[in-house]
Amino acid sequence: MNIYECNENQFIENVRRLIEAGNKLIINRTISLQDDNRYGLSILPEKEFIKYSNISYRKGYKHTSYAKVPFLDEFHKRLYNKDETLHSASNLSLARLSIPYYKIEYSFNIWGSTYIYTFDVLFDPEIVIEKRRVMNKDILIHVLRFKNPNEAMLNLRLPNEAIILDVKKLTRVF
Amino acid sequence: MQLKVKSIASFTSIEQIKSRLSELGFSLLCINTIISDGKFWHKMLYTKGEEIIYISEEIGHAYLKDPIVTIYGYDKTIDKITEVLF
Repeated sequence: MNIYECNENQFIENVRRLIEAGNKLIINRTISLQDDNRYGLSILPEKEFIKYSNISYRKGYKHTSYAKVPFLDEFHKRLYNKDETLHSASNLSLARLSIPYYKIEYSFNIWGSTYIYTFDVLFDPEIVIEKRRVMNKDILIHVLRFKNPNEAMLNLRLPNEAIILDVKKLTRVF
Repeated sequence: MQLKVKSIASFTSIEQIKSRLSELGFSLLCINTIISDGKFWHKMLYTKGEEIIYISEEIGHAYLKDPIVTIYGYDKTIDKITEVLF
């Protein structure tokens, strides 16, 4: 059995063409919340890193990221001190400050082959200054929160003739 | 009229596409960052009534950038947007 990876454009167009050719399709979809230290500040492109610039600094893309100020990561309930490493250049595949994300996978089988499209949707950061009790003192501190992405971003719009089934896990049997 | 799906990868600049969407009365609902194909993208969601358009713009270091436009709309909307993509 062959497995073909597609990008968004290819996957949607493949589904559209198959349906227009009179086929009926069942599309499997898995959506799972992940927080596995895969995405961290050092591997973010500049346009995305700028969202964290109030609490972090780095020399450039794929350089070590440090805390600019002390801040509280509310999602992981963790306090970072100024200049603490948030994502080391020597360990880019394992970020200390992990950005949570949804892993989305769409796939369908036809004529013995599987066509698959996967993408990850990052949570958006929200940085505020709030009064918090830290080490028995009430202080003003930066707080990092992660906002859930809009639900519409987790879905692909497919022709109505494609039936989407939500599944927990896709297991490939060879 | 039935809504149809069309997805196009194009070398047209993102500004031209956004301008056309604005002319057609679409408004931006949200932007999120996605990772697909080993690349980072800003995915924008535009809506107008029940019509939906996604624009995925690459934000990495690639030299040639080709935004992906996915339209869930009426034939007329698809035609008007396709005009600026080719």
